[in-house]
Amino acid sequence: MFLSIDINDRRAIYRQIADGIKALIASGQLREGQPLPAVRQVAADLGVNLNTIAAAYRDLQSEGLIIVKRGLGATVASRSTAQKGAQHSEDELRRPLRTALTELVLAGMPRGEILSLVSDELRSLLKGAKS
Amino acid sequence: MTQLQIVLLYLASIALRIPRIKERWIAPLLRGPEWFFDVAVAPDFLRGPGAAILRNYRWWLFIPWGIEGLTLVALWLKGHLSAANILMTVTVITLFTRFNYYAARIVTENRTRHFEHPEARQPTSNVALSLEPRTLSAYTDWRVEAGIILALSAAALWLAFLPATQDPAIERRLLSLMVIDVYAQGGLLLIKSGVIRSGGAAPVDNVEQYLAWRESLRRFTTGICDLVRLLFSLKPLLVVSLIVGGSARLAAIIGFGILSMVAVGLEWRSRLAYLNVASRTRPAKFPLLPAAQKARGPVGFWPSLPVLLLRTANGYALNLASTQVGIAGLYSAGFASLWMWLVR
Repeated sequence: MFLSIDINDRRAIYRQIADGIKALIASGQLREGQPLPAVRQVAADLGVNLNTIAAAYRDLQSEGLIIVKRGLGATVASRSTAQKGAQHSEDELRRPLRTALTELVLAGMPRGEILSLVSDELRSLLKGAKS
Repeated sequence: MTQLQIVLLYLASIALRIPRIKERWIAPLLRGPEWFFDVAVAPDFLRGPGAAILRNYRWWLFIPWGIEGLTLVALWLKGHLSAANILMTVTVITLFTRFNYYAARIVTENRTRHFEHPEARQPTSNVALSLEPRTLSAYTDWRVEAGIILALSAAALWLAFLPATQDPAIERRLLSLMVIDVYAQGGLLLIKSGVIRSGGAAPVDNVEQYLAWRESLRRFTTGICDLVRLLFSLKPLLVVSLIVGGSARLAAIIGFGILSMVAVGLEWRSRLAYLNVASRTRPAKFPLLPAAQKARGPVGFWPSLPVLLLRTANGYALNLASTQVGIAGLYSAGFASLWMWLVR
């Protein structure tokens, strides 16, 4: 299982890591109880600061998506734990979607194409096809 | 030892080193005519400037042999050409050969980059990493561990219950050998765990093949580590048998000889398997980290980066702030203290 990082992406590396792991959990490629690599391993593989990876793991932990136990590493949390941990209002959940849609509209993409794009992304996410 | 035995011992040491010499000799050409080491070049590169670069690289490989030859001639002229001195020379030169190869490779790659294929100059910006945790237990063969424990326990029991000699000084030396062997086992385990920790990102367009190559290199290196640990664990048993003499001595020599040959065969087989994967893997170029862009010289101090070696514009720089350097320092200090305590 791979996690991809784009150095030229505007998002910070820790954000990309957190988003990438989230996507893998959402698509079912990372299952409940599955261990994640240690912070040190990910940092060494990417050649980045330990704090960068620790921040990504902290974010995921605060959202209830992973469980970090000292000395035992991180594992994927159960969906129920994640749902309890997240406790987002509908508006909070809509906000990133709205931002992404705004970007697409501003990029000049027609309505039909946006709908098809969103539908494709959702389908591949739910199928677990996207890595 | 007789003169003939010493010559045979030296010839055996050369024979053992031949596969490695061959590997380094062909290393730049491993991936076919469009690559020179990890640098993408034009297919006719070797008919042009590549010929001189290859020639220089190969001459460079002979430096340790020159030093070894001169050392042995000097020892012979001084009348110190003993088996122990030959073994010591070969061990030191073997270690030096490794560093010499890395230096030759880095310099040769830097020279080759002037002729690098223009499309390959741009580093990849899209990288991927494996989310598979790498732990020591995943790289542990419990049969090897059982073998090591068995060999060391057998030697310890032999020493405890069947004194090999009546001489307390020799008994003490044997005990020291055991202690050093156990300490060396710890050191080899540290090296193995460092190898397991070493990783790296892969280019997104070739992630599976690239990570398979990294894993193959990791498995090969940890396998060699285990093989060396196993042979090391047999050393006290071999020495005790040699001191006891008689049939035990003969059995130990034959047994150790057969095991050494099996170990060499296993090493060569796994090396060929690794080289097969390496030759099929397309190298990738990654962007330099911000810290590496400012790096000057072969060493640096980057406490926030958990890497031992940092790739720089001119090769690699050793991160003196890495945990591995700290552990290596503590281990060496521990070894020196242990040695002083044992020989006093």
